[in-house]
Amino acid sequence: MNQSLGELGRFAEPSLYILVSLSGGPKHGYAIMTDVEEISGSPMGPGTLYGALARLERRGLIEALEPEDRRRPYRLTALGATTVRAQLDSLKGFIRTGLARLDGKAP
Amino acid sequence: MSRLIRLYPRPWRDRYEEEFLALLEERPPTMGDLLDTVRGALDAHLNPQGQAEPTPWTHRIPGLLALIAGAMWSVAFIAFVFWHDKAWELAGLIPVSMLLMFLSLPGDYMAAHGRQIAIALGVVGLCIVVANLPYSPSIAIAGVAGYLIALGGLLTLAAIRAEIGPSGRWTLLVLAVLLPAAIGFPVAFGLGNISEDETWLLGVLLPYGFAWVLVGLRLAIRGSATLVDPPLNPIEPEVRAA
Repeated sequence: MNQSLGELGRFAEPSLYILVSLSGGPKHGYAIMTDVEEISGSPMGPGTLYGALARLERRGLIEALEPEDRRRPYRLTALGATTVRAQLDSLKGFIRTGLARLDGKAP
Repeated sequence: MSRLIRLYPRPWRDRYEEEFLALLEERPPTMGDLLDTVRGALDAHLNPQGQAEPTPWTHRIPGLLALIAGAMWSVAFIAFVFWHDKAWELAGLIPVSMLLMFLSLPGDYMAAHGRQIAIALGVVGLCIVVANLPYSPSIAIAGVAGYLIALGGLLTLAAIRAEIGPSGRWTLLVLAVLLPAAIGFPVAFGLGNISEDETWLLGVLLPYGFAWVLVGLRLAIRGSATLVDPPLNPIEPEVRAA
């Protein structure tokens, strides 16, 4: 079972980046921001980050851990891991089809 | 930058403010971050709790009731001052708007509203009695004062149910009952060409109606059933460090 991120509107893409970032282990807000910037090549603003975190937490895709100093780490839940895997599998098929069409190997 | 966090709603700040500020201390904010924070605050108001599901239309009922009640209240008193010949025809709007205001008070829908309906019916009955008495400003003042005391009591009960602290409850009462008068009196005195009694009416009661319109707009747009949001994504006690 997994959830669709499409319903998150403008937060769908940032949410996917955050889920991918947390796939590597628990991270707090700043670590997520820097990791997402490395993954995507573009910075994520703090308002967008926390808008997406609140939505992901609400849906049980991530969960908050005890704060370290004032920074609170987040980790992926089992539902979050299933969801991000399904999203990436879907993207993999999309990329494969697109590349095949560019190469003239698929209609 | 930390001042911009105040743009976020209280439940959001209770849950995320500390870590958000810690994040900003680690990275000097850019102009883009400022704009993104403002946009995030707007989103937090429009989409409280980051709900995925569309807000059920029933959640907008209290807001719409408050909006209609405030509008009816305001129209009735404007008519009383500026269109004397229509004033008593529109006076019936006042008890109806009082009823709607009580019905729109924060609560858990019908269970809480059942009690409010009973109180509101009592208020309406009182209004009918007062309306049939020979006109007396002192009776009218006593009626409105009684209504405000009952409203203050219900607001306090709602605030206790929402686990708002004593200072927050006093703030809520002042905003609901006294602030309209504090704003309305100078405005009414500035209007001119109205009598002393009409100044009193407009100064206290018209801003009160406008306040209900604003509360109604806020509740209806956000689709929230309560004036105060529940805690946002509360941390479960069993969550431990990874």
